[in-house]
Amino acid sequence: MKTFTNIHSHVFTAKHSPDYFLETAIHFSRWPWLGRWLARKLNEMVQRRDSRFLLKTFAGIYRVLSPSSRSAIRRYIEFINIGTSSTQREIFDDIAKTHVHLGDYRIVVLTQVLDYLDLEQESNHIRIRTQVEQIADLKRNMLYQKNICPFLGVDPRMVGVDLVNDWAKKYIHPDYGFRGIKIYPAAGFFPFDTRLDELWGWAEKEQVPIMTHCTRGGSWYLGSFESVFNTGYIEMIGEGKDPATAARIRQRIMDLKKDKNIKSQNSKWTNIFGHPQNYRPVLEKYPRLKICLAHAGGSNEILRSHGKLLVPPKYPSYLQENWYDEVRSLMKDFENVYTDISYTISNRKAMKLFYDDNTDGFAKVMYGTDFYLTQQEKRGDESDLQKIFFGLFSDKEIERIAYSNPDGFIRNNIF
Amino acid sequence: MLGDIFNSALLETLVSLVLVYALLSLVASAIVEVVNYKFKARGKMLYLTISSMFEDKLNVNFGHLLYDHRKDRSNLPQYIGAETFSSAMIDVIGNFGRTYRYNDTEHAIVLQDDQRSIFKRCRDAIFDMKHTDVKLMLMNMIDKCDYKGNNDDARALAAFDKQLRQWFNAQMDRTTGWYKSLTAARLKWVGFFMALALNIDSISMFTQISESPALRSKLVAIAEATAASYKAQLNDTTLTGLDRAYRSLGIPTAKHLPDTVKPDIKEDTAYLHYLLALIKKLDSVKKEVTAIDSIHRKLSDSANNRIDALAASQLPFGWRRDRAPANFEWKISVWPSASWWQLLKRLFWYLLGLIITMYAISSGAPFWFDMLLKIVNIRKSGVRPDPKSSNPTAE
Repeated sequence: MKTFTNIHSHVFTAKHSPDYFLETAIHFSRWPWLGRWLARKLNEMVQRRDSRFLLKTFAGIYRVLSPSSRSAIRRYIEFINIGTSSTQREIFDDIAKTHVHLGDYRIVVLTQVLDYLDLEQESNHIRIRTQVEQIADLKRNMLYQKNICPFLGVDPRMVGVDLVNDWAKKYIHPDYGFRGIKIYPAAGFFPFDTRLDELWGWAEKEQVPIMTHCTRGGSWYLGSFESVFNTGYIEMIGEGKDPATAARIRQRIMDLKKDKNIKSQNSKWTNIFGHPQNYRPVLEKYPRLKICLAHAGGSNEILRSHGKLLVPPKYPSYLQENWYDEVRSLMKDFENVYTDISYTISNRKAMKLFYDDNTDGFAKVMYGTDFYLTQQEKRGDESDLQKIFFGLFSDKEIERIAYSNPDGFIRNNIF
Repeated sequence: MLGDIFNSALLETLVSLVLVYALLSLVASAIVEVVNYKFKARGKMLYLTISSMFEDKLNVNFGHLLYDHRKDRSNLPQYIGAETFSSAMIDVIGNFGRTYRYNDTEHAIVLQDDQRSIFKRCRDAIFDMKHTDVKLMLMNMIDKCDYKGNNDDARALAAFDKQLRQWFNAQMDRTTGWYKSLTAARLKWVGFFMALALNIDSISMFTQISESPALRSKLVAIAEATAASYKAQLNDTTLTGLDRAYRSLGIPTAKHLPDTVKPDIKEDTAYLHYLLALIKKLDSVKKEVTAIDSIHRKLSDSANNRIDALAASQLPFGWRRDRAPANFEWKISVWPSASWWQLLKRLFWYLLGLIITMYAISSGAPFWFDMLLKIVNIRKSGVRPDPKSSNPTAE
């Protein structure tokens, strides 16, 4: 029996993210201390029912006064509502109910390491191991076992744990039910980090799928530039296999280090970590590595690639390369490089262009939504995204994108 | 000589002032309690304490898992007893020590039927943790219980249960400390807003009380009655300092409300009740003082006018035209001049008076009620010397 698969969703709550997480949205480059203070206060506020009630009341009044902002406010409130759920199970219930009508379904839940978003700040949040154990507990529950397909969050900076033997081999195992690996380089590390070398070798051998965030947006490392770049010589996996690409990457890092203007703009300089080109040396060393560069580089990059972006972003020259083009190039060059349409699907215009660009019948494209982060977007409800998907693609394409491609991607040699 | 001091206007003024501070800080404490209750401050601190007990940044945090197992997930519990904590924690750790295997026939992850006791499962779960301070502490706990059990797992589990309770109770002292710090900070804010909203200038209040023997004697009488009532509450060791203060004014505490009321509503209603009763009490002080003043003025004004005027004037605070800062000479044409300096000086004393009030209120009701009892006792020892002590041969 065929199973409908949503390859990309999140169920972590606000309690799983660090206390300073909202600095992603609240940041004043002139007064960083003010941004930090406000972010922590807002984080405290949204986690309290009374404050959320007040917030909703004010938002309700504002909606009446400003009809044009109605839908935006509704979306943000919905986003906060879901994010501040008490448990991951509640959030999973939310997404699951939007899939029941699809018949046999499976939702890939990506656990995520959020513990190192700032190496200099302390936080009292639920850390990755507890997050993973909570999902493992959900996976054991017969009510969820068939429908949840967890991926394991990995970060090379995790301390006190052997990434392969204590972490990946333990959880990516039939007894725990995790099927793949999730990485988020924008959190402050390179995918070619040598601490990941052994893990990539094992993943290639066992054909364990890797999901990685691949857009300039989302969240990013929030600490100071110096806290991640005062590290001396950066070693690179596969440098000898592809010296030309390695040299380009090194040059980009050098240019960034010299650029004094960008160092207070974390949203920009952290692009250096998730750049799709960073995967090339790794793939040169492990060419059969099964990896999904999620979001196809992002809707803005798709529009920019076609010259359809109304306000072109101001990136420094060394960060100008188009990520969408780079993702397509990697998919062409390596047999197991996939992409998904999660989050990007909320932008109809970009999706149309993406649709027109594909000439190989979407051989390595997968359906995903990036629930619940898409709630902030205009057509970001799970049901809206399904409507866009079913409206744009033919039955044959749907079968490929939402059924057979994810099936091949998720299948590994372990179970 | 000593008797003069004990009966002096200064001591009476101090007694009156302490009474006013005690009543105001009780209102402030009630407000802070309501705010803390509404914002679930206690529940949040409890959550932070329990999660920090197991936080080592590496292993799974049993404290967080404990919160996953509660029934009502929409609210953080405001209180968890040591017994509940221990029992739930044994479940959480014991569950973590269970073994699951993928079953090919059932195509599912299934629980293995192992023969280990709950104690052994807890021990295995802790033993499998990565080595950190938390693991070492839990391991020591388990080892002691194992020794006490002497190969009897049921006894060892009972010992583990006891150890967890003791640990929890010790941690709760820390939570109480945090909660007190939070309450103190909030009391300062409430004290500040009360001083500002009610225009309570301590310096001016001191002057007015010391200059009005009638007001002073009335307030001293109330202070003595309140202190006596407060002293009676000291016998009940189950009451907190704040509860004693409430009870000394005849206000029922949460613990004295009928059990038929739901716990949450009980707490909520109780604090609203405190507020209402306090307002009533303050009002009765106003009325009594008004009655005394009215005797002096009954020949000059009509009764209604007197009551209205005095109701607004008997307690020496509040916003009035003849009181600071409204009575300051704000319109000064020449800068700088003598009147400018005068204004500055008055402003300085006025602001200082407000700041003193803020700090006084933020000291909390228990402090002021204790102080009231002490100062009234000192005064009483001067007014009515103990006949036995004055005549040692009497015994």
